[in-house]
Amino acid sequence: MWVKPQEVFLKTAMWDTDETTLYFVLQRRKGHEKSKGFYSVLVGTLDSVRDTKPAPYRILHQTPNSEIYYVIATAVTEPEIRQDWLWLFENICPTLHLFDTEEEVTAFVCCKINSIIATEQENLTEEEDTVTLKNVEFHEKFRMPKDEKLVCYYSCSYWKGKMPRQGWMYLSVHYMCFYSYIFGRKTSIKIRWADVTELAKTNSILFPDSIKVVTRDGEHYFTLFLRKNETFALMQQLANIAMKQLIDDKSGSFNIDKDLLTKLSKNVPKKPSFLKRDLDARKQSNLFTLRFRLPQNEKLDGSEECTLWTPYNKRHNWGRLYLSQNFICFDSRVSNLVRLTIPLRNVHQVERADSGGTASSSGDSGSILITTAHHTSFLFGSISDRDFLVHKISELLAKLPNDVYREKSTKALQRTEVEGWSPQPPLMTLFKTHQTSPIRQIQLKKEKQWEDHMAEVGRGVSMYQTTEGSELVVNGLPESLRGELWSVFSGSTLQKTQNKGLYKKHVDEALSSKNQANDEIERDLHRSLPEHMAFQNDVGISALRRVLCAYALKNPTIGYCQAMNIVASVLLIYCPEEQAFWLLATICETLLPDYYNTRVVGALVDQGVLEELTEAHLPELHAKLDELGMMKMISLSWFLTLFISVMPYECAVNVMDCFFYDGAKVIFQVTLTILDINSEKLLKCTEDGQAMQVLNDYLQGIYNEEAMALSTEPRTAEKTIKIQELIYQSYRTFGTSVSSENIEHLRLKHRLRVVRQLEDSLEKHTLRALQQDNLLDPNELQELLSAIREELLWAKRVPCERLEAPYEAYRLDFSQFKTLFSALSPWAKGDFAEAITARMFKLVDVDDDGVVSARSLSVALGLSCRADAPRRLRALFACHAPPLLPRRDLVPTHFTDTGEELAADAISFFDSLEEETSTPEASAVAMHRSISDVCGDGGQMDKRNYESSQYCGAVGAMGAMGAGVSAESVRACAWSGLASGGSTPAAPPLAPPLPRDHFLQLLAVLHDLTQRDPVVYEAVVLAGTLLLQLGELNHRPLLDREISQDSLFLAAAAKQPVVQLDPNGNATEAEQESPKPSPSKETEPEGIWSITLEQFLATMLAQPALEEFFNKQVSILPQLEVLRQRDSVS
Amino acid sequence: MSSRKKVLLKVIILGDSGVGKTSLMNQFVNKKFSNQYKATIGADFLTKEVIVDDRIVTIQIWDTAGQERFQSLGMAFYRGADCCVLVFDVTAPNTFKSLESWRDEFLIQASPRDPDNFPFVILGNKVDLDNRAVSAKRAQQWCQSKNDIPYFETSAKEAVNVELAFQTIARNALAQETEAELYNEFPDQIKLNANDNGRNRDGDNCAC
Repeated sequence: MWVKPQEVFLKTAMWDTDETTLYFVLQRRKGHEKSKGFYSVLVGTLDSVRDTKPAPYRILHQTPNSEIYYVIATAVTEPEIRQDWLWLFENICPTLHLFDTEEEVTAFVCCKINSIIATEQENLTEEEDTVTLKNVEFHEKFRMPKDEKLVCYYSCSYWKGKMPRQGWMYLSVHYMCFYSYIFGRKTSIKIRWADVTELAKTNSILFPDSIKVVTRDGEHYFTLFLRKNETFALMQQLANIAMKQLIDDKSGSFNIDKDLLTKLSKNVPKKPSFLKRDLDARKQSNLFTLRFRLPQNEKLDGSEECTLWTPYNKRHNWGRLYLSQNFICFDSRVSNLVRLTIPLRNVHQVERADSGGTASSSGDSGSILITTAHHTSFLFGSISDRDFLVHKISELLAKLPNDVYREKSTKALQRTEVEGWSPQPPLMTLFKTHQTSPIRQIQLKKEKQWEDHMAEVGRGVSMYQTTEGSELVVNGLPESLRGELWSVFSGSTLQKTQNKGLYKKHVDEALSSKNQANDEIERDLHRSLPEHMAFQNDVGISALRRVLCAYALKNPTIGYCQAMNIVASVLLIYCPEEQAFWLLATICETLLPDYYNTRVVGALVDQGVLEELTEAHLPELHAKLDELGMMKMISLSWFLTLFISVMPYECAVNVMDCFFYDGAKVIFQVTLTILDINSEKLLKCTEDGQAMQVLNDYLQGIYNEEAMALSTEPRTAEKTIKIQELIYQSYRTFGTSVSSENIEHLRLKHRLRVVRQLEDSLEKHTLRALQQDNLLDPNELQELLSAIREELLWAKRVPCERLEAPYEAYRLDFSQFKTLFSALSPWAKGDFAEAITARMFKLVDVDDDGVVSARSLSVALGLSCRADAPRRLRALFACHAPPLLPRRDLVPTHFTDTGEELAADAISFFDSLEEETSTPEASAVAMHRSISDVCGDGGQMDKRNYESSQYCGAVGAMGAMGAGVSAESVRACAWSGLASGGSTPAAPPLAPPLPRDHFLQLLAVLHDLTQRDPVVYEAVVLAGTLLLQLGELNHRPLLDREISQDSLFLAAAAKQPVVQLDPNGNATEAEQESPKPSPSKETEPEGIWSITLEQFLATMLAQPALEEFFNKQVSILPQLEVLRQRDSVS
Repeated sequence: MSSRKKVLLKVIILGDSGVGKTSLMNQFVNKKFSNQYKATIGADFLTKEVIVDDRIVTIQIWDTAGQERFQSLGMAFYRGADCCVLVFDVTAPNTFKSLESWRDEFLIQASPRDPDNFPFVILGNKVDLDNRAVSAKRAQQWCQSKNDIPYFETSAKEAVNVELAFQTIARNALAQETEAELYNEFPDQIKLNANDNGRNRDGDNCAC
């Protein structure tokens, strides 16, 4: 036991020294065990007199030149102290020589021991205080947001250069952090799990016995863990949760993180250890569901050593009983001896069985008998706490949901005839293939074998899965029993019974909807298993359509992926339709996780796993295939279609037999065997095509003498191997070395890499797309994108599936947009920051759905700090134009005053000018004329635009803001000049002219933006004055037609405090306008108050100061740096 | 370039799912059409020997999966391609629109030495069907805008233009291959040759 280092001066008195090293001494209390002489008695007496009773063993730390010794460990027994001694020897000693001075060595040792004690104490007592303290420390040191949950913390050292720094490692849901403060030097590391590309345990000379963490930016080594394996396992688990999160769409039906988070929120205090325990439980649970093929959401409740009586061989088999909400499971200690799953819903009775005549010696005590509704009994024996178990089972039984009715003895197969469609029986019963008589004999023999076997071990979910059974499976199932047995082995039958009626519901819903998945499915229906009669017929095709469409609906993260059609069609041959659906679900979600999702992540992960297995088992071949660039391409079609598309159909189904029985490991071992058998030929290949040919020929030549070939065409390929032989050989050669646990483990490892690669390529694509806008430079975009990712991560949102363009994957809502835009854009600095941010958001939210893409943000930023002056001004103008800026948003209360004030300022300025001289007016008129000349009939166009936009505004004010045509064109006006903005026409369209109030807003914003620079500010005032005057010139009494529209508009905007609605509705505007400078001297045709984009641009750009101001190139890099600092360590 | 060693040309067929990539390949290699193909998963390939300008060359045709989620997995197959065939379905405008992204994706993933002059061939397939939706003119225009990519209107079902198209594919691929040999044999002259060949190709009178 480690103790708080204490100084002692007396090294030897009363102690015998057993061992010494340079820095440590292992001592034994005199008189303990070895010597039983007089002295020992004396020491014993002294101890009891003093009442100190020190532990008989201790370890001291010393440095050669010091008189001071530190007790660092004590123990009551020798093995205990030896353990500590060994740990010191292995973990501490090798590092100590790195320190320059002895003081440093002592400081390091003491610090290390203290931290170990701290860890142990917390683990032992779980002191709330320490835990809370650590939690607070964690959040403070690393500036974590409040809701970031600390999972666990460990004492360890970090290799900084050649020096280990003793400190604490904090593991939280999204981060791993390290903090150390020693010798006056601070080390602080913060790594996001999502950025981790590799985790490994290493043991090199440079970094002995360490955990290596690799990110894109570099490698980190941590060492001196007290419990390295535990720490590593937890790190791996957390990293994988992060990866899973990246894979899964948030809408996914089995989003793991959601599950985790809800669990987290339910947890009462912020105790990290609870979280840790929770994660441990999850891991256990995962293994459990995997082993017994239970639905993934099944949670393990507990397990207990016991025996199971197997009637077929009259034996008690030792093993472990597992209990979960819905199942009782048993697995023998000897692997593959016997395995059993009993759904609780089938349990009829649980009783204590007292040792009767049947039980032999080992089953004497603690037996329980479980009887199912099918009158089958299962006898468990040697249960240490029987009462508890019985109690627990009855508790679980009571908790079974009521709507799930307990299955009554036998249920009649009922085929419901519903409108439109009815589920099909196995298609092979409808479309019988002709069998030659020898084959029929073989099939009958197999059936007989299975009937006999099942008579012994039972039939259905709760059959004993035995060694004998596995042997029968390896030989290939009889065709008639395939459907039933596949469903039982894979556990999909459990899913089906748990989700009664779901299939029908999904089919009905899916067939009536129209979506991309359905289109893709339609295209592939005839390209699934065309050689089978069933799919040359509408019966089969329709069934396939229903299964695939229903699944696409059930699991939107997958939707439809090619290869599923091929797998599903085979399932339909052997299984009734609904059962085929659930088998497909089991394959997609449990057996081949993430294989078929939108980025085919699972298949890529397994390619990595295969590569690693090949390297381990067939190193020479691996090197060759790697050289040919083949390693990455073989497994895709083999794995995705379970060999159906590469082997003759009647052989691939045999692989599927084993696959459903033993899981994904089967595909790996078969693949390895195929490579192994062909390795000689493959090693001679000089290019990939040749190697592909070798494998293709081999695969096509596999044959099955026990089943009819599906293809009616004569075989062209030369026979290579019997499928049974291949499978048998695969079990013999790789059956034990390739285990399911092993594969799960490797999958975890490769998932990190694959997801990171996919993220990188998504990012690369996005960057490439964004660069085409020519606004921000690549550096900025790169940084911006990581800022976006960071922002999305905080919001617990993940890049969703790829849509039209890569950047669509990063989607920001307004609050996220706001955070980034306001932090980065020079426009979002003053009093109008919020308003301008909102307006820019509207400008770039092209589809008006309240969510924008990464590109939209980059465009918004680019327009505000990088585009040339005309474009920048155009953007400003456009985002103030109706309908983007509906009237109701015009004067938000909190800046009303400023806006009005500024406008009033401007107007009075204009008035004063007008009094002084008429020049501005004249020039404005002139300018207006010249612009009109240039624009030709643009005025007319503008007017129509304006009308429609007014209408849109009105509609918008009524709460039905749609993407009116004008909104599109307003946006297009600002977006013009960018890379294919989708709907951008060749010539930049014109924004509608701004009405007076809108223009005043724009002017206020411009004042705000420029107020820090007097010269520019003055230029704005001047230009603004000119424009206001110009607006007045455009003004004219309203036409009748317009009045009616205006009244609609005003009625809609009635809630605006600015507008005072009088009973007639139409007089209001006039009233409002009346106090303003009279336009009476105008002789122009009557018009409404407006400023067109041309007028605005011409006037603004006429001011050199303004042109210069809006041409200024602003880099957002400093702001990005600030933003990053915000989240990272100080 | 009169080396008599065996020439192997690698040709990649790309295009949206269901445009007829597998059928075209089989029509060319096996001279038959079947409506009994499975959807291609991962990649498949066939080889055929053809004679191009008195030279016997083996064309290795790689057929790929068309569904979008497989697009990013193509990388491994694109390596070392000598020609890329882009296929669309003349009855499905979307498949025509995707050509651009298929082409871009290929150039990015395969990163050929000289992307501007890498030989592509466009095939508008299924011209035997009545419900045509992409006009020859439209396709032609697009091909012209992309550095004059050769364009063929084909029907894998009725073997229209398939042979002709693959002849062109083989010829262009061979030109590419020969160029590659040049690079390998005279590594010092890379720049010069790149320019020369670029010019030659425009005139379509590459000396081979």
